[in-house]
Amino acid sequence: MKVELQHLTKVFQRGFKAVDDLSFSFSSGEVVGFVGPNGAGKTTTMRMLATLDVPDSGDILLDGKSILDNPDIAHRAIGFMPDDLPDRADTTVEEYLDFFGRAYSLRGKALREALDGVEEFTGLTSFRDKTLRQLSKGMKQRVSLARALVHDPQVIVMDEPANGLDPRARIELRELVRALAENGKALLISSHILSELEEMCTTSVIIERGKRLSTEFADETAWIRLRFRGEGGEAVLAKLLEMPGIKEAEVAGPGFRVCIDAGDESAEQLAKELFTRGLAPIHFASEAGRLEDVFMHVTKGALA
Amino acid sequence: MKLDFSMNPVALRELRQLVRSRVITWCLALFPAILFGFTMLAVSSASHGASPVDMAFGDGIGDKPFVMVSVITGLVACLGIPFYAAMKAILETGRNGPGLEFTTALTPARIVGGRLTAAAILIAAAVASAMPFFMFAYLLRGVPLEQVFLVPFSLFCYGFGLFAVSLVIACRQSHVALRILMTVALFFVTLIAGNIPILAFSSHTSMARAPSYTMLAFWFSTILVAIVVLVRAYCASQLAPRHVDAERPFRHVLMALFLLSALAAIAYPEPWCITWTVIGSILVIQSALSPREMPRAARAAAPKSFIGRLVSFPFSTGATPGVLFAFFIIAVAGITYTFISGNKDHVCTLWACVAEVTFLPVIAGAIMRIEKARESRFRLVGWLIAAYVVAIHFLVLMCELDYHLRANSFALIPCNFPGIVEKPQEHLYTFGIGLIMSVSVAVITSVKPFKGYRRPQ
Repeated sequence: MKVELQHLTKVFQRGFKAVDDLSFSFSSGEVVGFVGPNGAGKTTTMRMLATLDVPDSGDILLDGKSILDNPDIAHRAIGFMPDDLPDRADTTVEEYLDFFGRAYSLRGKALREALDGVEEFTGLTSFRDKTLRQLSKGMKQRVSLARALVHDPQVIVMDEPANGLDPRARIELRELVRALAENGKALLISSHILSELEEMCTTSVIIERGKRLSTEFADETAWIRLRFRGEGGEAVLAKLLEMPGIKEAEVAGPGFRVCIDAGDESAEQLAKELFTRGLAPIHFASEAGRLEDVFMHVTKGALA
Repeated sequence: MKLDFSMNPVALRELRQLVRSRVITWCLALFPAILFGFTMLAVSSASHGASPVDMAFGDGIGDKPFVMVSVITGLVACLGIPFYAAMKAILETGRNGPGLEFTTALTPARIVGGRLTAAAILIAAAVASAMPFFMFAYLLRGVPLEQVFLVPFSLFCYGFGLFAVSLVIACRQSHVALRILMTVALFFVTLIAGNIPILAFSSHTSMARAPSYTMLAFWFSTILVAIVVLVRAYCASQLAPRHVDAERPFRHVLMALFLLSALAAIAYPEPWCITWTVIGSILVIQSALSPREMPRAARAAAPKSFIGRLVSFPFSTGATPGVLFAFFIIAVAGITYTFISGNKDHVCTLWACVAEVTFLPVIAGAIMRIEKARESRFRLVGWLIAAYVVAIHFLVLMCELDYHLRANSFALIPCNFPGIVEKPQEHLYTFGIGLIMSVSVAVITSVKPFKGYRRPQ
C-alpha cells in the first residue's frame, strides 16, 4: 500500500500554520521516521492521516484514493497509536481491545482470533485480565499498539511511541516495529529519540514549523569517527581540516568526527589520505547517530 | 449469533464499566433497601388510625406508599441516573477533539446511539427494581392498575428524555466547564420546576381514568421517540470529524419527522405549524452561525444532475445549506398556517416572530462568512450591513426611539419585538422587509457554495 501526503496545509486559529504545504510518501515495508522539534506539526499531520483532523488544503491518498473523499478507506487501512495512553482505568486489557475489535466490525471467531493475535504479538497475553490502572507505562504503550493493530491495518501511524519508556521497553518496541515492517506494513513513526528512530527507520522526514526540510545534505554526506594513538588535540584537527574531501571536522570525545561525501569511495579515499599523511587511525567507523546530525544541521535556524 | 455480538459496542462498553463501578453497584443495591424502608414508613403512616374494616373494604391505603415509591424512583431514574450519565458523557466527549472511536468503523450515530442505549438500560433497571414496590402499593388498594404500569413508564420516558436533552449539551463543541454548568442548570431547572410527571400522575390517583392515561402514555412515548431520534442525529452531526458530511443524516431525520408529523397536521394543524415554525427558526439560528463548511466528502458524493444537486444541496453539511433547509421548513409550516388559520392577527404574529428571530442570525452569519472569505468587496458590504444592524438595534433598543412612524409607513426592521406582537398588522412592512432580506441574504450567500457543490473532476 502506498501512502501519499500531497501539499497538506492546516491552519489553526489566528492564522497559525501547523502544517504548511507538506508532501511526502511511503509504502509497505518502509519505516519512516517523522522528526521535528516540539510544535513542528508532527501530531497534527498524523491526526490528519488518522482522519481526526481535516486539512485546509492538500490531500492524503491511499493507493491513489483520497481519504478526504472517503474516510472509510482510512478507517480500514490505518492503525493510529496516539501519544496519549489509554485512559479507561477500570477497563481490562481484554475488554479494551474487545471494544475496538467490535468497533472495527469484527465478530465471533474473527474477533477472538484478532484479539489473541495482537495480545500475543505485543506480549499482553498474560496481562489480558488486568485493568489499565494496574499496568506500567510501557505496558500501556503495548495496549495502545495492540489497539492500533487489532483490525490488521496496512498502515501504522505511531505518535511518540517510545515516549517515557525504559531502555528495555524501547528495545522491545524496536523489535515490534521491525517485525511489523517485515510483515509488509507501512509505518510512520514520530519520536524525539533520534538514535532510536535511526535504528528502526528506513528513511526519515524532518519538519519544522509545519514545513518539510531538505535532507539533501544528509543524503550526500557521511560522518566518520576516528581515533588515533596518543594525543589528538588541535594539531591533528588542523591537519584533518586541511585534507581534501573532508567537509567538516570536530573533536568528539577521545577522537574526532569528520564529514565526507557519502559512499564507499570517499571513505576509502579518506583512509588512504590518512595513511599518506602519517595519521594511522586505531578506530575508523561510520558514525552512528547520523539522524541527530542531520536534524541539528537542517533545523538550525533553517526557516528563521 | 450471541446477543452481545449484535449489541452496539459503545453500549456494551458503557454497561461493562457500570458493572465494574463500585459506586453504581452500591447504589443499585441500596436503592431497593431505601424503597423498602420508605414504603414501610408510608404504610405505617397510612394505616395509623384506619380501622381494619376500612382497610379491608374501604378505598385502601395504597396511595401513600405509591406516591412515596414514585417520588424516590423519580429522583433516581429522572434525575440521578441521567445526571450521572450526562456528566460521564461530558467528561469523555471531545476532550481533545474527536476520540479514537472515530478512527474506527463506528459511525458517529452508532457512538451516540450506544450512549443512549446504555443510559436507557440503566434507567430501565432502576425503574424495574422499583416495580415490586409499585405492585405492593397496588395490592394495598387505592391505586388503579393502569397507573401501576403507566407511572413507571412515564418515569422511564422522562428520565431518558432528560438524558437525551443533556446529551445535546454534552456533545457541544465548547469548554468542559461550560457544558457542566449548562447541564447542572438544566437539571436544576428540572428539579425546581417539579416537572417530574409522577407528581402529576400520583397526586390524582382518585381521579384516574384509563383512557386519559392511555392517550398521555401514547403522546409521551411518541414525543420521546421523536426526541431520541433527533438527539441521536444531532449529536452525531456535532461529534463527527469534519471530514464527513455530518449534518446530512440529521437533516434527513428532521425531514422524515417533518413529513411524518404532517399526518398529525390534519388533526392538529395549528400546533403542527407553530411547532415546526419554531423548530425551523431555531435551525436558522443554529445553521447561520455554524462554523462548519461543506466537507469534500459531501462534494464527492454530490449528484451529477443539476436538479439532483439542487434537491440534495440543502441537506448537505454547512451553514448556507442549513439556512436554506430551515427556511424550507418554515415556509411550508408557515404558509400552511397562513391558509388554515382564521385569525389574521395570529398569522401576522407568527411571521413577525419568524422575521425577528431569523433576521439577525442570517445577517450575522453571512457577515461572518464574508469576513472569513476575506474578499474586500464583500467585506465592505458585510460591514455596511453590520453597521446598519448595530445602529438600528442600538437606536431602537437603547435610545427607545420609535421607528414605527405611522401605520403603512416605512419602518426600519428589527425593532420593538413586543410592539410587533401587540399590534402585528401595523408592522406588516417591517417584518415583511425583514423576512425578504433574510431570505435574500440566505439565497445570495448560497450561490457560491452551490456552485462548488459538485464532484471533483
